[in-house]
Amino acid sequence: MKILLMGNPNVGKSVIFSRLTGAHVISSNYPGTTVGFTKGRIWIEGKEAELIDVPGLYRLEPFSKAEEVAAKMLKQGNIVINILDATNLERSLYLTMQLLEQGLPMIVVLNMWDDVKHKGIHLDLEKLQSFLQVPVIPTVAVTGEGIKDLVTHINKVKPYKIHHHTDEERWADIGKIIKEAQTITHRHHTFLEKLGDASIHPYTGLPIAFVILLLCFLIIRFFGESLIEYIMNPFFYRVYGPLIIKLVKIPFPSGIIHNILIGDTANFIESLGLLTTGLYVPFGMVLPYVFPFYLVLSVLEDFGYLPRLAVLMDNLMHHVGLHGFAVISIILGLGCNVPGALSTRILETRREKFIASTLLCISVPCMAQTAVIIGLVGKYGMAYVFLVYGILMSIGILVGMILDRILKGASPEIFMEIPPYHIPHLKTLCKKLWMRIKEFLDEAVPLVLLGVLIINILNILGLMDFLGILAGPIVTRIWGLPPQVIPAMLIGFLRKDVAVGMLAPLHLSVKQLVTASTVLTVYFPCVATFFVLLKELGVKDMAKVAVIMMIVAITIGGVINVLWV
Amino acid sequence: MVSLADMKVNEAGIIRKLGGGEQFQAKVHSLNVRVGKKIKKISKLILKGPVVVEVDNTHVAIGLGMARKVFVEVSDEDSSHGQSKRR
Repeated sequence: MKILLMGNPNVGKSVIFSRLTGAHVISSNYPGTTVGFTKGRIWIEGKEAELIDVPGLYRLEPFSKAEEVAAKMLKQGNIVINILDATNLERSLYLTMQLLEQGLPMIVVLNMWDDVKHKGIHLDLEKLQSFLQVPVIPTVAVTGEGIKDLVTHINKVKPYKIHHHTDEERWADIGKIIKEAQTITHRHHTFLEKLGDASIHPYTGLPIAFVILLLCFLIIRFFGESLIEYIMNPFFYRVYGPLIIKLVKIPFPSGIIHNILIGDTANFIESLGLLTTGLYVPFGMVLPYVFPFYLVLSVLEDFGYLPRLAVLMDNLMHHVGLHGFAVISIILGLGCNVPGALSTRILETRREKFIASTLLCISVPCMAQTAVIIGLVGKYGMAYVFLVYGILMSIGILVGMILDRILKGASPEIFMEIPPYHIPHLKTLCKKLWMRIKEFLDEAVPLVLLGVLIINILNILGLMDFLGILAGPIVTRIWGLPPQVIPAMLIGFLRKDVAVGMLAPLHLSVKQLVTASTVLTVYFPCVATFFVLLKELGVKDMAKVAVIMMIVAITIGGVINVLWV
Repeated sequence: MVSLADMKVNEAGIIRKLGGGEQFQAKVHSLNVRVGKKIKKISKLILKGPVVVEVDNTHVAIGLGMARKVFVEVSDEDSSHGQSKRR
């Protein structure tokens, strides 16, 4: 049996999914968090059923890829749980009408029931139920209220079908329902609503955005640096390091295996051993920044700030062929390019997706890479780190403007709901943070280890020098970098953090470090991002993105090399 | 009747006409921007930025080009939140 969770974007489908299955899925306070579908299993009175969290949609005729996915899912479902935002009943009911016309057994869930009272809305549940002729259940998904009631209804629900309506008939029926079942009393703006208004007015919104982004940056940097200095470094250098070196030396006092495991220097970045660099990069360098980044991102998401940032940035984004929503993809990409790339699904046209993906790959370094750039380049002063980011941003803007000119068609305009601010629910927030950290560790640790292992094998076989000769001209003549950078570029395909880390033993000048960090960001996406984009864009478009990236990488490396005297 | 783009911030009224084709109309319908609905202009971003409106307690951002296709009969009283209009 397949049960579908369907409803408008941002009504809490994913939270209800988590509640019903116990599985953890990401939810946020903006439309379009779920772009693919998530499956889970639930047990109802001893019988197993499949529960599917369908991406949000406003109507069954799809406008974007995410909505297309949703419309397709409907054909395979046995029961529909239609989730509505109780504070937005009128709009939500349109999809409900369309779903009723499909004739599947259906339950209507009025989520965010706790907000109804705050907003001065009164809903008559009995009247609503008698109009719709299907069970209507109020819930507060974040606290779990009403979920039990929902479960007991799932087995009892019977098919019910209404005849096909035209657009006008649907709205006329909805009008009738609203008139009978809903009364709204006026009330004054709350503080959060006033803050919400202030953050989308141009003269208050832009300063607010500036302050928020600056605060985020400071928090991430403070947390990151403190974690490294007071926890990770003392742990690695004083506790773990001496211990692991002693342990490895017992069976392998020296030789190949000794070097593969712990390398031949005591420096954790430079040794390139599996148990030293292989663990120090993900845990000692990257995690301290990934943690505060996702903490800040999750708070912004659940509070509902991101859609407002999208509105503020909308006209700027139009210059690079995108609209405001792409800001959310970029911010997600600053954490990890993979969720950033997935979130481009909500963009409507192929043109927009292409531009967004290209810009994401070229000029948005992920947190793992940022952490290592800060570690290496930051030693010479944060100004150089800003220089790398400034260069990346400028390339992004330039490439975007060029793509906007040469690609046919125009990008559609922004049209999105701006959800009200919500004080984040602490438990949900912590769960989400934990999930993201776990996802990072699950993906990063094995790949970093693999990368370090490959470096060792290449070293032992003496292939490093051979590769150096092969791509020499571009690296040495155009970029002004030593040929030893080439292995780093190869490993960069696997993990960019390891690649930047590999620059450490080369003792490059600041100029070379800035060039190499920039080029390593631009030249190619990491393997995880590459496969996601291959799936999202198709072989042809992905090939185009790759060509653009390589051209940009060669050019920018050369430009830095020539201009920086 | 003025378009949403030409309305002043904080003005409220009733949507009387939607321009554009069927697809445009279907798209704006999905967020309840329909003929006969009360609408209030909340904000207008500078430099041809989008317009933010309030329909049924919900804020919606609409690109300027789309806002030009939504026509509103502005009414004097602003009743969307029971607040008196600033004059």
